[in-house]
Amino acid sequence: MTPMKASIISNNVDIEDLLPSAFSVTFLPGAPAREVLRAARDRIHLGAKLLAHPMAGRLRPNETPYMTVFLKEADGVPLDLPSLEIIEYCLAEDAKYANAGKKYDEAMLPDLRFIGRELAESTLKELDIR
Amino acid sequence: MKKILFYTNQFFGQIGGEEFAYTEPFVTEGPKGPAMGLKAAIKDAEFVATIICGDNYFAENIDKCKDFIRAQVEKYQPDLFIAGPAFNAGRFGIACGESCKLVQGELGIPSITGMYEENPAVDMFKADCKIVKTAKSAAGMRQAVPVIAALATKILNGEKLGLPKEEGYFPMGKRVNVFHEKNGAVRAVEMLIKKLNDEPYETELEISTYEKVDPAAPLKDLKGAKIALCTSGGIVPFGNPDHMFAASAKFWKKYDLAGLDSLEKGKFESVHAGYDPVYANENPNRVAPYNVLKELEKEGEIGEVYPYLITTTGNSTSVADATRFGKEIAEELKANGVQGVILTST
Amino acid sequence: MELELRKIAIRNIEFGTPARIEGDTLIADPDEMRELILEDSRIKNVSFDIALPGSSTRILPVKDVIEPRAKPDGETFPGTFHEDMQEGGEGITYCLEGCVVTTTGPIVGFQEGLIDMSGPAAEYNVYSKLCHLVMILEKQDYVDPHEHEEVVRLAGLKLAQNIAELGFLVEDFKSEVYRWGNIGENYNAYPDLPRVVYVYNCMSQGLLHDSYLYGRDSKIIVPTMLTPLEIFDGALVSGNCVSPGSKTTTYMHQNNACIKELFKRHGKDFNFVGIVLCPLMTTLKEKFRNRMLTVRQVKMLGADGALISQEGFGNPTTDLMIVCQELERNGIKTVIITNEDAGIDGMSESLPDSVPEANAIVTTGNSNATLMLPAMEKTIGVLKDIERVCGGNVNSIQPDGRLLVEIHGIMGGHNLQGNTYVGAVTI
Repeated sequence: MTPMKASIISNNVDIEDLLPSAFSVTFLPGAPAREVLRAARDRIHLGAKLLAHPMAGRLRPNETPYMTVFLKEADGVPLDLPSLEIIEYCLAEDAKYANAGKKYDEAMLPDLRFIGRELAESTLKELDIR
Repeated sequence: MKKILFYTNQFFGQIGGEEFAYTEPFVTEGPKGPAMGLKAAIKDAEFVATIICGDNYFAENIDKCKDFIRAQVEKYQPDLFIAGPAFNAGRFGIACGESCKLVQGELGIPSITGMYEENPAVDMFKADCKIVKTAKSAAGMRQAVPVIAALATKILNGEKLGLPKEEGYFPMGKRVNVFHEKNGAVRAVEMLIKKLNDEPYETELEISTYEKVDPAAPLKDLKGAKIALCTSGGIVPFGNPDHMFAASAKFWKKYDLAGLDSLEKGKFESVHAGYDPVYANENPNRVAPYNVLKELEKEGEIGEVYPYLITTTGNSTSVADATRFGKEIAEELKANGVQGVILTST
Repeated sequence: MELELRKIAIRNIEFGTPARIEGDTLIADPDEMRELILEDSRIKNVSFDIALPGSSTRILPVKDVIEPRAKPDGETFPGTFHEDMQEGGEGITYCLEGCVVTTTGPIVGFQEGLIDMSGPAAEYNVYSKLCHLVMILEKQDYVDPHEHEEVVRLAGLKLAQNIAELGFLVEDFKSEVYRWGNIGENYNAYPDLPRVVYVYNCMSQGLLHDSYLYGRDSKIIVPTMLTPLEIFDGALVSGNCVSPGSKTTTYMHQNNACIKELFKRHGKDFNFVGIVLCPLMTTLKEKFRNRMLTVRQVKMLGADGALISQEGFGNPTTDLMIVCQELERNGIKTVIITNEDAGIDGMSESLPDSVPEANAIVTTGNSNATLMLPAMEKTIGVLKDIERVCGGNVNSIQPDGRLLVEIHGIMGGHNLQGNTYVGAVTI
């Protein structure tokens, strides 16, 4: 695998030990998924590309508070429109469920982090970086 | 007997033409204008009163007009509210839409109006009331009356409405679940057979798509950049010297702002017919924020503000015209060394 | 290749001994089943229940639904239990039509959907019209979530195959024979008809979001040509436990509505020449790679038209759209099946991704629409779990016992192989 400048933005601290050193990691513990997506959107405007669709799995925005975004970093290159479209969609989807009521309670958070970790692991395997 | 309250403008209310566009709202007992035709077509209901209001007056005094309509609804206690039809008239369309939105949304009484598909008020209000599809001009009144009357009759009788295309009104854009007679797989295979045979078929979900434009590379530093302000919000010098259209614009304009720090009230105004211009006229910077750009320039955040306003009316403008505007504007700005553009829309 | 499905109609289930089929009643022996299931030492305890159509019964949370199928000279769900697997789709398969094995039991904190045997939710899916033999599993403490998912999946398949073997003695069945040739034979079968390929999307994203092809996780396969006959024999099974409305249970694979309908019109309106299984993965690179590999195989089969069925929503919509786009660009006329997330009020954008080429869409409804469900006399599983079910929330249980859920929370509520009558229109 050719080395690439990749970065992860996540609010799921359980993924920490999964991450190869090739990644620069921004953890936003306790931040809502929306903030993770916004941080990713800001990076995309500066030239980063999405490596994976942020809404992996099938948990909806009100079904899990955890969000991990995988980006390929680049500066000063033209905006990657497909990445922007996807991240904006994710933000719109997040907003769609803003008033829909949460489906999880505190006791479930470890399980939701676990599933988030599983999905992140799938993504890392697909990216063939580990 | 069910009761209907009717709304129309100075023209259809038989007060007079454009010179009466500032007529304040008033109410008259019984049906007036188009309500006469509707009356004959709607059985077992009476038009208790007609509200008549000048289009300009409505556009510039929306809250007062709403108060007036609210009072009439409380007085007459109608079972249905009908406004217009407005055909392709921009200001009348907004008046019909606003009044129906008030009566149906806030007062809970079903409301119907009618408009031509390109009337900007269709998109503004189709989710708030039933807007019947009409012809472009009042020449289509005779075709519109039976459609409005049939819809009114069904609503008054509490009958279940058919799909928008069956009843003749614009879909409000709401997706609702239904049970089909055939399952999804059967419908999909039937659709595929039609598509393979080049026969007409109807997709169950329309996808709206737009041409994608590749964005320019980001500006890394605004401190050395020359930034221009463009708007499709219809902001022009007061008095509209170049006769910018209120809708379906065919040109764009460049106005010299040298020496100005702000677009002041009374010196600039909105001619856009697709939104309520009151707040834009009070402070045109709300639509075209030239004042903020000048502040950023003073603070050194922006290298230089291009001292012109590039403007047009983005209201039912055709894609072909808008594409041409974009190309022309881009050439103009590039020739003048502009590196970045703030484009505001409404 | 020829497969005979011998369909035995089951309309009732009772517990009794010995296990047998009497008329249209399946008599299941709880002790025998218990012994079978506890062969897997990772299972601490198992119990069974019955839910019949029309009864005031709710099953919750549901993991998988499986139709009992067995082969006198081989095995269904090939690759699941034995290393020396045989290809599915050949010989005779007995099917207990009208009954299913349904698995429940918590794997992680959040839970799978519900099946109501009567009331308004019963209108939305096919499961409510089936007789359910429900298996409630409890794992040993040391079993982790990965293994737990596997334990439940395997137990369900094992019981389904075991029960179906009772059908071998039944002589009253309806026979359906399917034949499938090699690529050349299929291609030339109906030279005057357009050729159609079915693109079969399946979730392949991680724990509780996977499918298994011949026992192998579909994350580690590339898009693959399949025969419809091996699908009937359970070559593809579900490991999905999230998103009840839009997931494909093993039952929906075995009874894939698209395949059924394609066979019905095969030789009349078109020539059905093949299936390409397309795994739905998480990274964009894999999505583009799978698009290329899928479209290439569809082209190699000589397709003039394609039908794509979906699984899941959101991230997989991107796969659906780009495959559709690429097929159309290659001149292959394509129809897709998807559901919509148009918001509770139906006013939001329906799809998270779209391409202009997706101009022939069948929708199985707005999954966000809500439904008030009456209280049921009996709940198999844990009612409180509705709060943690996709489509439910912490306010789902009303003071009077009713439940407010999204259509999404109903198992198969908007099945994406089109095995539901629900759709959506714009008003």
